[in-house]
Amino acid sequence: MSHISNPLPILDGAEKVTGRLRYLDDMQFEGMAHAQLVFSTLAHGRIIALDTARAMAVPGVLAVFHHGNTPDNRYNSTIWFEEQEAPEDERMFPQVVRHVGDRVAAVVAETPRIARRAAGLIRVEYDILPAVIDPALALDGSAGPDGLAEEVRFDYGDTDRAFEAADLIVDTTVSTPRTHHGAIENHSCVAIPQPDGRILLHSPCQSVHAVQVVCARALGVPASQVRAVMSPIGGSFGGKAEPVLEPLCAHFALALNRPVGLSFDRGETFTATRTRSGARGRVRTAVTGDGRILARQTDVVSDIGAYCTGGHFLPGSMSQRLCRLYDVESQRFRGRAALTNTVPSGAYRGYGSPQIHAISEINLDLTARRLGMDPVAFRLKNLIDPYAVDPVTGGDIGNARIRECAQEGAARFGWQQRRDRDRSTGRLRRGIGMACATHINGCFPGFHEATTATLAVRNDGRLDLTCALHDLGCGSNTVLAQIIAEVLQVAPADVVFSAVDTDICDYDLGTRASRMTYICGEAVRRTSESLKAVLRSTASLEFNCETTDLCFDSGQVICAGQGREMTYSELAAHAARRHLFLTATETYRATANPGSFAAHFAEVEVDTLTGVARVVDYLAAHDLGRSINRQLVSGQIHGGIQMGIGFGLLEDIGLDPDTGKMKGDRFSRYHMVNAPEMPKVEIVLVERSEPTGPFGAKAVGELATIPVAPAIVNAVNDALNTELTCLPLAPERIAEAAR
Amino acid sequence: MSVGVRTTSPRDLTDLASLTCGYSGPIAFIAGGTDLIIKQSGMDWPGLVVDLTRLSEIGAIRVSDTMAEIGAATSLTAVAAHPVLNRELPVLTQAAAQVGSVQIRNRATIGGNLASAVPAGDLLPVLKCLDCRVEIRRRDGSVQRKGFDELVVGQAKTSLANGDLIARIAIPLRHGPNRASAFAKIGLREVLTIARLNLAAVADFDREARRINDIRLVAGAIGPVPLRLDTVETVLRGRVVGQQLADDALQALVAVVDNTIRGRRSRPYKRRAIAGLGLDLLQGLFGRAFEPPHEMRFPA
Repeated sequence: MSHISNPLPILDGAEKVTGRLRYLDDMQFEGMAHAQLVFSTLAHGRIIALDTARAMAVPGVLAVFHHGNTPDNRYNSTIWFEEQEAPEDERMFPQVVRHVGDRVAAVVAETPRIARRAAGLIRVEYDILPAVIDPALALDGSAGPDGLAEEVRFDYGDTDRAFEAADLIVDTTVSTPRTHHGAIENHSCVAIPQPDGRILLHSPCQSVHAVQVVCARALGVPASQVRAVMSPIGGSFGGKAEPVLEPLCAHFALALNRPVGLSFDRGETFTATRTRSGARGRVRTAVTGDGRILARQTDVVSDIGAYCTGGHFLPGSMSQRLCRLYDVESQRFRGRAALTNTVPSGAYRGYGSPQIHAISEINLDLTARRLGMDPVAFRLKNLIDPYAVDPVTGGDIGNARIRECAQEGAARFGWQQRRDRDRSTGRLRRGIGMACATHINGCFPGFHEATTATLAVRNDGRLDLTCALHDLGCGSNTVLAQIIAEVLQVAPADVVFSAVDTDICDYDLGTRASRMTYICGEAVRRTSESLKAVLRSTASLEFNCETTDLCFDSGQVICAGQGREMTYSELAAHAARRHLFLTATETYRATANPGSFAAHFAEVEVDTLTGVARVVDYLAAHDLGRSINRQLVSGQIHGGIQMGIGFGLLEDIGLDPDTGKMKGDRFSRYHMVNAPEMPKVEIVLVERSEPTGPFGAKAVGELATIPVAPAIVNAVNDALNTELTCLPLAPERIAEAAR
Repeated sequence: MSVGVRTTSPRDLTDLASLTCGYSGPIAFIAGGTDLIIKQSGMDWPGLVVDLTRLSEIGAIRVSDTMAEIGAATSLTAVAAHPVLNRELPVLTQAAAQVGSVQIRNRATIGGNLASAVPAGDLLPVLKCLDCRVEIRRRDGSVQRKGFDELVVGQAKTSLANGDLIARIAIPLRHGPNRASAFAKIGLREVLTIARLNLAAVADFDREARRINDIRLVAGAIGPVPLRLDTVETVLRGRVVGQQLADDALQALVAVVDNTIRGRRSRPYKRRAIAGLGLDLLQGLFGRAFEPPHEMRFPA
């Protein structure tokens, strides 16, 4: 039977929904002490005095850590392999705090309660330093030379001439908000000193190898001294890609020589971990009167917050998206990452893609409007063709089927009929909007895009998969089990996943960059094929037959000619007598980076008085090569839309422009879209198979959220005949525009 | 709960009085727990927590000819679903049905909502509008009755003394074909949202003549305590429902916002939003008798 495209329920789903799965914060470790951090209340300041005496006097307090008694090793929490270079501006506890929520000190005590109480007794005196909250000010030189973390430019074709030749130039500036990941599980970590002097970290993370190397740098020890084990994770969306707590927790545990746990509450996760970077981008698009894009100039500033982390990757990441969606003859791009005295940014579903697509897709919609063209027809005139070459990297974009997404999506949505409807001029107005988007599949040609997997037949006939696979809750392990099951003809539940542990698993880059299905999927597919070859050669010895006479079904090798069959476990037992072992290891290094594509369509209803916009109908058309699990694909798309509506209409951490304090630092002030707000979602899958993907599959998870906000903003602008470009479209902004 | 906290679960109000009358430390009551559990989690609190879930005396709704008496520990789900309240006091059941989410309404109680006295509490403007009387059990077992304004005295502030328990909320009923009431709210989402503005109204409405004989109107989330909108009532009282009335009512509502939150950053938004809320309210109150204007003429 085929396991591909099956809507198999998530393998650990029952354990999760019945509450039996224990997350790290639910676990008890013998002798564990508890840490509580003290955070900066200032956006920028030098600590001149730190009074810890009252905290130390509280019975049960074991230690207080701060800049004066912790290592000054500089590190960057974004690295994921040992030799990786990145601007190293973080340390465990800085003397100069750079944002509200920066780390000032930590109390470690016998219980969380004591630690919290003692933390409240620490007094800090600062020299107040000037704070830069606005990224534009960070770049204009007035705030000193350090505001620019990275600048990326590219320029291809003759942009200047194209702009001279254009019939119309549309100039738009769009800004997108800083947002919070909102994973159910807050950040948490436990560090346990080992008898051999190493440190063991339990962490709900996106890469144990990243935890290992970041902690090693922070502690100033070789990576071999750090062992990281992934604990069950309650969602991440990029928020746990960078080890924030782990270096601190490791140091506390080593210093005290006992296990130490550190868990953030929601407010701490908001203010002291990572957010989506803010972006402000100006796009000028030059078009002919009949709707052909001649050239485009884009200038984007990303607000990456107080520490570089992975923010220096953002401009490059954004630039790449601009070259892989439309066929534009000439483009000029400048992307800058600005350091500000605000909470750091980091990975967040789409890594710059939602921002750059919001900027470019809102501009394109306004361009279509000024041309008097249908937004779908205008895009179809310019969308990229399959196997087009990305002019910046020189790589091709694979079997790109964005045209089919736009065409089939528009037809199924009834785009034309909805456009032809009469428009209300009353209080409630309806509008429709669409947006296209692309996203990558893995990090190729970037660093270390490789995965090593080992697959072995167990004594009980099931299959052991040893690989550092970080399923963040979206069911990627279920998808990988289906791929293995398809090759080796076993049940997906017969795949036993190893612990994700740096002591057990070979290097893997971690769950990021939409690489799970496409890269890790291909790695386990190749490993499965290798194991199948081992099974075939071993069985041909046992049966004394040609390898071509063998077939595989339901966990058995069958020699049809002899009418004999053997289960994989029987074969393993026989093979062991010949000192043969049914195991295979493969390292897969990616050789391509095709695009995944989507076209999303939305209808909104806008209350022109209260300014509340509601998404009433939605269609998502996706080119994902081929779906391995339709149910999980649908789940990813629904979740992406939920997150994207928030990005477009509601979510903003609300940094005060003067103090840098976060207004939206709790869910009563930071509204995410909940189930009753969700529109009916129709899904169209364009499954034309990507030749380099496992069974033709490409990614869907990150992409699903990328076109949502621009599709909705375009719909609101259609409803009101406005040109709103400042996200999110909060009721205040809509009400003001409708006036 | 932490080590310093004592808890007790009285079986009835007499039992409660005997437990609390000799206790001098701080007392907190817990019924639904939707506020207290969050506030107290992980905190040291050296007091007595009194669990009200066994007190059936304050967990029921009784309706007589002239009065609805709602036990303070009645869940908002029970309030919202009560058939007689639905008929007699739609303003109350509509508001109760919009608090939080299903899960919160199943636990949260009407007494707790009132005792929290937060400006954005959905039931506060409603209870003020309905001219409720609140029965309070004091720590020594004695009974005290207060009107809404005597009870809710500031932002998240009541006149309740330590150990005072809101036992029942009594709402006078006025019958007849002319009665009408409605509630309207703006939040960012449909559910699990805290009101940014809400309105409650009770009216005596002559359906045949389409005339508003009398009306009481209260706004919430616009000041520290719910605000009776006398100026708007004056505009509406004695008038016939129609386009002109809608325009005048919206003008008056906008003036309320202008006067109440003059210097606030939220003023430009709220003065526009209250017009939308006003239209929702008029439609809720007068149903088909009120046709919303086709062209919005927004007050300057």
